[in-house]
Amino acid sequence: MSARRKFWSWFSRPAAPLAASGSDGRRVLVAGASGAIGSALAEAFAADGARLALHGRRADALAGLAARLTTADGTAPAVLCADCASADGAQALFTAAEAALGGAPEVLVIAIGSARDDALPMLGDADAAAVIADNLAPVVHLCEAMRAARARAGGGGRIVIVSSITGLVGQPMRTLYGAAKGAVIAYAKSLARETAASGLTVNCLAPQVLDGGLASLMRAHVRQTLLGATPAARACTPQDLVDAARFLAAPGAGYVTGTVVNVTGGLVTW
Amino acid sequence: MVNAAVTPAALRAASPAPLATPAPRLWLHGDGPLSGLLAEALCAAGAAVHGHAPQAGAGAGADAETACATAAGALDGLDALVCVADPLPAAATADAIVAAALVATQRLLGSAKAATGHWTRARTPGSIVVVCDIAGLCGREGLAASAAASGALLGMARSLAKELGRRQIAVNAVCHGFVAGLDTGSALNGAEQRLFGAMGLGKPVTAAMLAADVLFLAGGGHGLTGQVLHADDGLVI
Repeated sequence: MSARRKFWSWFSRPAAPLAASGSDGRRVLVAGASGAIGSALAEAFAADGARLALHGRRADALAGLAARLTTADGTAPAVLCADCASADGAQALFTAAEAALGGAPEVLVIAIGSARDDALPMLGDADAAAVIADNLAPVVHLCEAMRAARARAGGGGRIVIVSSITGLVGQPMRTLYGAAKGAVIAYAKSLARETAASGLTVNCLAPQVLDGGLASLMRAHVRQTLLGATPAARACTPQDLVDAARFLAAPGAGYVTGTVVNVTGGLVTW
Repeated sequence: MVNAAVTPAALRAASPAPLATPAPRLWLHGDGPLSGLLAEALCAAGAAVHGHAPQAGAGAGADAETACATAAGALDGLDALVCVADPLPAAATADAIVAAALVATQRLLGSAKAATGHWTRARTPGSIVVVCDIAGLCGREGLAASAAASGALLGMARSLAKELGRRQIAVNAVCHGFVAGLDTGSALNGAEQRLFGAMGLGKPVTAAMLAADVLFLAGGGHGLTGQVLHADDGLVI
């Protein structure tokens, strides 16, 4: 084959799926897999050939997802329920995941959170405690469990945390959610710096208004106004996060750590 | 850019933007060594400061309401709330990281609610200034607790800025790096010292420098809200 033909044949090859260089056979734990984002990410990693452990609080949703992801040869993802807002709960989840996957997870995806939208005067200490417990505590406890598990396994690994653009740029009526997601991002950056030398990367995704996600809790007129200002002229979908997560979880992304990938359809360009 | 909805008549009818206040009356919400250093420096710079050591956990909100009323009474009004996150011990446990973020969140929530209520009742503009560690922006090895607490404050401050703008309440932050006379829980390693040393950057800032930044933001007349000043001698550029 001439050099010229070789050149063009290279370009005309079908694009290699990210899966081929990504999750094939890797052990992936998806925390929060019963939610809209978590289930979309779990489906993507399953399609890429990952060995999956699914965690969530809604057993019925997890069971349905696991059934959908069961392969033709009968291999099903492990389904694990645990309260990850405590160190013990997160550790128990990791112990179960390691047993189910045959080793420490190589990729941890966290898509856990809740929001309490209200005006400042309506929010109180108990709301703050609930939002921090639902958004920050599981991230910290799961990440620390992952760090320990990867250290025992000899290093390496990927953590992908689904945070929110609200943690970076704020949003009215989402004071506590902004605080919790801001804390998640800052913690993730600290952890990324601490674990970089071991090969464990830590990154965040920061989506904006998301169909099927917590934005469903947002007041309709606020949601409409935000969408109207979004250059992409549509809401973010869980699918919009999939390839960003695949990239951050890929073996080749080892030099990318401590970042926040902004997935906002052009709404936030700074 | 011109906003077509803003006509000259509308501009004349609008409340004038608050002018810069050279000696603002400050309610300083914080209880550690940084709060103390900052209070002294703010007073030395001419501000009227009423300090308050906030209560943590349940009851923090009621405590802040009382403290705000006390501060406004003592100062004969209130121009700004300065909410200070004092440095936290390094190498914290996971539980300590979560607790630090919660305490910071509850403190700013309670004090911002109280101050906003005061300004709303008094029909006056106001300013909230958060002072926290630069680790809240960039993370830092060994400073996960400070980073989480500061990150919570910054995330909250930006949301507050967007929520309180229509009440003419500005919300901004000053992030400090190393502070002279204060253990911030971290230090530059050898390679970083050489890197920043070559640029003449990364030196500790003084409490007086931080106070100048706080006074600038608290004094108004600057058109800033939702912004973060990096008072770190160039550590984060």
